[in-house]
Amino acid sequence: MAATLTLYEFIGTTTSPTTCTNLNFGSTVSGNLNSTLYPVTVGTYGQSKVLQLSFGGSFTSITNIKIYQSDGTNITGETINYGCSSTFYTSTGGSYADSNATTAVPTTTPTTANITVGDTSSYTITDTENTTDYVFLQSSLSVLASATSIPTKTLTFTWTEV
Amino acid sequence: MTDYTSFTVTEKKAAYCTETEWRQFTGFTDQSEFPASDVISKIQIAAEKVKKDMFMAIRLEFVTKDSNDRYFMSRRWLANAWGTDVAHGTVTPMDLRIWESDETSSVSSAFFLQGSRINRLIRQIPVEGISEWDSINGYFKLTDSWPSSSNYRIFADYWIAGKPLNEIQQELRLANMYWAEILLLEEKKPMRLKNGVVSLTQGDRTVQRNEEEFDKMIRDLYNSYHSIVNVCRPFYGKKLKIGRIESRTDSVSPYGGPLRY
Repeated sequence: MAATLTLYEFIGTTTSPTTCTNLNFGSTVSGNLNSTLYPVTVGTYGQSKVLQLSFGGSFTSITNIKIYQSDGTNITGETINYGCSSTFYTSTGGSYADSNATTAVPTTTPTTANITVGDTSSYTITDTENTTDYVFLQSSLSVLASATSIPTKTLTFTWTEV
Repeated sequence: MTDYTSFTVTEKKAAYCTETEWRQFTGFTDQSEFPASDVISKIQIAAEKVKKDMFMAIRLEFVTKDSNDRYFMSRRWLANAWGTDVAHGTVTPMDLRIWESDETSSVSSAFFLQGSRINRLIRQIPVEGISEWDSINGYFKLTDSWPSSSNYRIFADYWIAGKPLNEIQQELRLANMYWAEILLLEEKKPMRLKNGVVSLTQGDRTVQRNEEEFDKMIRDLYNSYHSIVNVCRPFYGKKLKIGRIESRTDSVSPYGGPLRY
């Protein structure tokens, strides 16, 4: 049996996380939000998502965890940034860039791990220490973006499992 | 490997109210009498009117930078810019016009030799160059590309309201609806006065159109509009002293002393 990934989103605190079924971005802090109800104003930042990966199932160790955009294209002016930190910070958005999410999500599989544990990319996840650092994801819509429903994207998490 | 989908909807508002909100508010639901294209057009014209009445422009203010690269503006509260086709009711980079100023000795001396009182060249920094902004604390940050020379000074055009924009969302919406209604009703006036006919007699019955009541209705809307504008506009006046009575100084006026809020 292989390892299974559960993605948690933290809303304001580190307690009672929401289990993610999607990673929709919007102008409110909410897990699995309805993007149509909470559109992002052109020229602003969407509310960042504070996530954590938790591994379950049957495995000995996991390393080399990566995130990338495997499908879907960005419209003009759209950027999705990410970053990791072992320290929890609350979500940021609107007129503020999330200072923890400063790197554009790659559109191809990265060569090295880009999700950290204990603020380092050389780590081993075990069944007792089975969570990653907090992952911050934020969408940015510059003034060049247009008012539209942005095509759906797929964000893929991969890892090496033993 | 696990996949997650991500979906985003973006918006770019051209007015503070929608056509649907206007129709619900006014009760003018008849599409033939008030066509959608006409209503939307008037709502957008009214939005610009609202901005010009409620917000005050501050032009080319010299802004200073702190150690966190935040450029601070002196007055509150940031509002939407005049003359744009967007009216979000929230502040975006489109509501700031940032300029960099070349005041190097060669520019200054060239201007001086021309006999000019101005000693600088200004160039607008594109809105994409604004990376962060705070409408409550009144600051913005620029991307690493700006200013294009470390010698350049930064100036800002911005617009202010008397209250934070998030507190006057309803007032913005109402004012926008009132002025759009005035525009649409005024549009009807010439048609009502066509050929100067204001009464029609048929047999022993006379139907008379009361133009004074129509005008009074528009005047009432005008007063309602301005009562809302007065709540939201910034105080801008000169400090006044009559005898020992002096006007308060906690204003946004450049003559009224430091800002307190």
